[in-house]
Formats: sequence, C-alpha cells, structure tokens
Amino acid sequence: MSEDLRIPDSLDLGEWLRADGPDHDIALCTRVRFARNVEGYRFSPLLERDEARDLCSFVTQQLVQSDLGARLRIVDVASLRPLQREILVERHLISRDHANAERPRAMARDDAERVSLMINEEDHLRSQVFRSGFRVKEAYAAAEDLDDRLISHVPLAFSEEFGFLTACPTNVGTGLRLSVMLHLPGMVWAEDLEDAANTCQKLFLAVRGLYGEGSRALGDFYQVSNQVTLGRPEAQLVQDVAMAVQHLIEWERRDRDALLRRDARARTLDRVYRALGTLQNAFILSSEECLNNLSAVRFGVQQGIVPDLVLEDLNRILLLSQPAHLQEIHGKRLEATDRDALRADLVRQILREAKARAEGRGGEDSGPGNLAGGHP
Amino acid sequence: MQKCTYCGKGQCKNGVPSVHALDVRNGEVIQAHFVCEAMAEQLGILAPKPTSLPISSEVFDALLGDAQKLVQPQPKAAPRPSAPRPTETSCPACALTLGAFKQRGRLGCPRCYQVFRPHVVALLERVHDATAHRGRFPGRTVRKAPDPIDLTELRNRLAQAIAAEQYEEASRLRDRLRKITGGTEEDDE
Ligand SMILES: [Zn+2]
Ligand SMILES: [Zn+2]
Repeated sequence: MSEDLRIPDSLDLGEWLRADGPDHDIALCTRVRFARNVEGYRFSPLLERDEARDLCSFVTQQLVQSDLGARLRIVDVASLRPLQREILVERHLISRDHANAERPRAMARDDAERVSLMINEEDHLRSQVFRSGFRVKEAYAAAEDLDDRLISHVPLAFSEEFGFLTACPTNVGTGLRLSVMLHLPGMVWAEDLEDAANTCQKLFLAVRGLYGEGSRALGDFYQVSNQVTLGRPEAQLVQDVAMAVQHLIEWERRDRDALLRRDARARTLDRVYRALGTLQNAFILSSEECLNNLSAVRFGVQQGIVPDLVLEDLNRILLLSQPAHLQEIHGKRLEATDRDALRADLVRQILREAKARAEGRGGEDSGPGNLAGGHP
Repeated sequence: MQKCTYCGKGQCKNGVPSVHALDVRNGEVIQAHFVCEAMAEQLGILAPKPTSLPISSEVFDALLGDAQKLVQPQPKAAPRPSAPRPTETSCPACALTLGAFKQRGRLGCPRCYQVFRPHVVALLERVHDATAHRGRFPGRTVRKAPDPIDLTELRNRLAQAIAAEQYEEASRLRDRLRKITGGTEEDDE
C-alpha cells in the first residue's frame, strides 16, 4: 500500500464545512451575498483594462485603510496559478467566472473563510459571508455589518427608486442573495424533491443542485436561494428563505424517518452499507461515484446507522476529493484517470483514519461526538 | 412512474414527468396529463424553470428572448450610409445602446437605469414582480419593526389553524411569530 497522503493544513476544512450550527446535519452552510458597485465607474463588463486596474486598486486601498484590512487577505486573482484559482472556486470563495475571467480582478478573504469579497466580478464588489449550519439571522447580520463597513469607505452606486444598482437588473435593489446549502438524500430517495422545488419556485425561491451540471444534483446537495432582490425589504427576503428551508429540513427529517421504518429499512441499510463498502474499498472513484456514495454514507452517519464516522470526516472527503484539491495534495497536475485513483486513495485513507480514531477510543463510546445535538 | 404525455411512450429524454396538467370543465377534472418539465415549458404550461437556471444572465436572456429576435436581424443588413438610420437611444455616460443592453442583458453604468428607464422598469416587473426598492439605504440600515400587516395575518392564520385543529401548522405559525417578535409572542393556550 502506498504511503499516506499528506494534506496541507491550508486545505483542511473551511467555515462552510465545519459541521456545526443548527441543523448542520442537513444544512451545511448559510451564505449571504451582496452585489455592490462603486460610484463613478462604469459597470465591470464595460470597463477598459486600465479602468479595471484602477478600480481594483481603489477598492483594495480602501479595504486596507478600513478596519477590515487587518482581517482580510487581499489577492490579485490574475496573478494566481490556475490551480490556486480553482481551489478558491472549489472552496466557494470565488465564482467560476471570477476564476476564469480575463479582466483585472481581485479577491479578499479572512483566514476562517467566513468572509470573501470578489472585486471586479460582474459587479465591482460582491461580498459574501458564510456560516456553517442553518444560521440565517447570524449570517445576515454579519453580512450587513460587513456591508456597512464597505459603505463607509467606498461610495456606492445607489438610487432611491431602484436601490443598489447592479450591472444585471436581476440583482438590483437589495443586491442580496441568501442561500442555504442542503443535503437532502431523504427527499431525493422518497421522490419528494420535485414537489418541493416546485413549491419553492412559487415562493420566488430557486432550488439548484450544488454539484453537477443541469438538473442532476450529484450527492443530493442542493442550494436554496431567493430569486428576486427588488421590492421587498431584506428582512422579508431573509425570512422567506428561512421559512422555506425550515420547512424543507422538517420534510427531510420525516422522509428519513420513513426510509428507516418497516420494510423500507432493509433497503435503506443495504444502500448505505454498499456505499460505505465502495468508499472503503474502491481503487478508482470518479467524482460522480464518490459524491453519490458519500451521500448515502452521510445519510447513514446522520441517522446513527454507521458508527465510527463523524460528519467532519465526510465533509473533509467532500472538499478534498474535488479535482483542484486532489492535485494540490498530489503536488502537480493530474489527468482525470489518475485523479480518480488518487481520489480513491484519499477516501480510503480518511475512512481508515476515522476507524483507527474510533478504535483508539476503546470503543466504549462509538457514538461520534459531532453528532450530539444533531437534532434540535 | 408516469410517462410523459407529449414526448413519447417512455421515450421522454427529459427526465421524470413532473408537471400535472389538468383539463377542467365546469369544475370537474376531465383528464390529467403528466408532462415533463422541458415539454411543459415548450407548451407554455410552465414558465421557464428558474431552478435549472443559473442566476443572472441566463434568466435575463430567457426573458429577453423575444426582444433579442427583433434586434438581431438589423446588424446583418448592409449598412447604407445614405439611408439615415433613426438614432438609437444610448447612454451619455457610458455610450451603451438600447440594442446592446437588450442583447447582453447588462447595463453599462448607474446612469443607464435612468436612460433606459421604461425598458428597465418593464423588465424589473417581469423579473422581480416589483419595480421599486424597499430595502435599506447606504449608511441607513432599516431596522424598523416587522410589518404590522404581516403579523396580523400570521395571528389570524394561527387562530384559524388552532380552530381547525391543524396543530402542526399552528405550531409552525407560532414559531414563526415568536421568531419575528423576538420571543415576545406568548403561548395563549
Ligand atoms: Zn417529455
Ligand atoms: Zn450608462
């Protein structure tokens, strides 16, 4: 067997995968984003290169001078290696578009990965705040505080009629996008997700897969967010998303319970343990296979069926098994087939370590600590 | 599993038929169709699905689809300098033209919102079902009490739910009220 992979500390979990906070067994993370533009500049899509550079240096200077400066690390995105940019995308700190764009652009983040700013994305400023678990109020308050600090240092494009002005009218007004990332295997297995998505749609909320292209949501991870940004106060937008998510979480819990009752139970256990067997034994794992098996095992851990593992182990797999992270761990670029082999190595290693850790505890307490308080 | 009525017996490439279209006559359901979402969109039963659309640009493009078709043929026609083209509205601050706005779905600068106001307002109406900002102003965080109408409505619904013995709904509404009022809403049982 090959040597254990060494995982750099910088790659280990960020805020959004910390596995704590209310309902964190279902709600991985809450994210609040504000889209803002600086007064006196054309919107990003129309900026010439020198104007864009000027904008970036103006905004970063203001950030450095503000009280945020000490907390934030500012990065010139264009100067990063492609792999480093990809890692930021996989950690949800910047958008794919921001990573791949040609224009001068920057980003800023704090060490805990609770805050990230994109400078000269589609809008001049996109600030994001992350909180693990279902913490809508707390995340919103933090985002508003960040926004207030930005506002006091940077003059923003605003109209009394339309609110905060954005390049695309779909973001105008509050510029607020609140999303909660959810793991919904129960609803997917019980075939309730379409109904839920349709209901959300009627409430002006969008339900999207977190991974994968098109309608297939790999690993049963979804993101629920407000679709409209104008005509409602922020508090109402926040409340609408919070209510819908609360409802989805309760629905998910009911479906999970049903999947473990009577004749459904054997089938569910079979599904969970086959998935665990695959992850423990596979030597080649595509990202799709990894995510889908991870979903079943995660379900098992959350429901207390699978001992020894804790959610943090699975979150680590979720994050580190992504292509750029794998290549960073490996130290150089890898073809897709080599990545699949490395992914399998990594997953087996994490599961092995979890088992060793559980056995080291003497097995007198097989209930994983992180699960305590999973149900509110 | 139901099959899609429109794209073939079990050959629906578009996934699980999930839209239920009912033929109703005089209040009676005559027939129920099961249509996959892709077909439903084509048939106009369902508005384009926001759940499968990434946020800004694509939604916008879909909404501007028709306008785009009207604009597109123009550039193809050979420009004749002798025939004076009606001057197109453009933004004095960033030079964006109305055509370019409709094509790209992006405004060029803050001023554009005033320059293209009628078009912007029509679009906002469709995208947001609203045309004016009701949120916070820069430097002035709106921290007003929750809308009294909403609370009254919630309390009414709570009373109705209790009357109808829908206790699950009632407890949900009570939680919501408590959240909004910050716990000042006491149990009144
Ligand atoms: Zn069909
Ligand atoms: Zn303009």
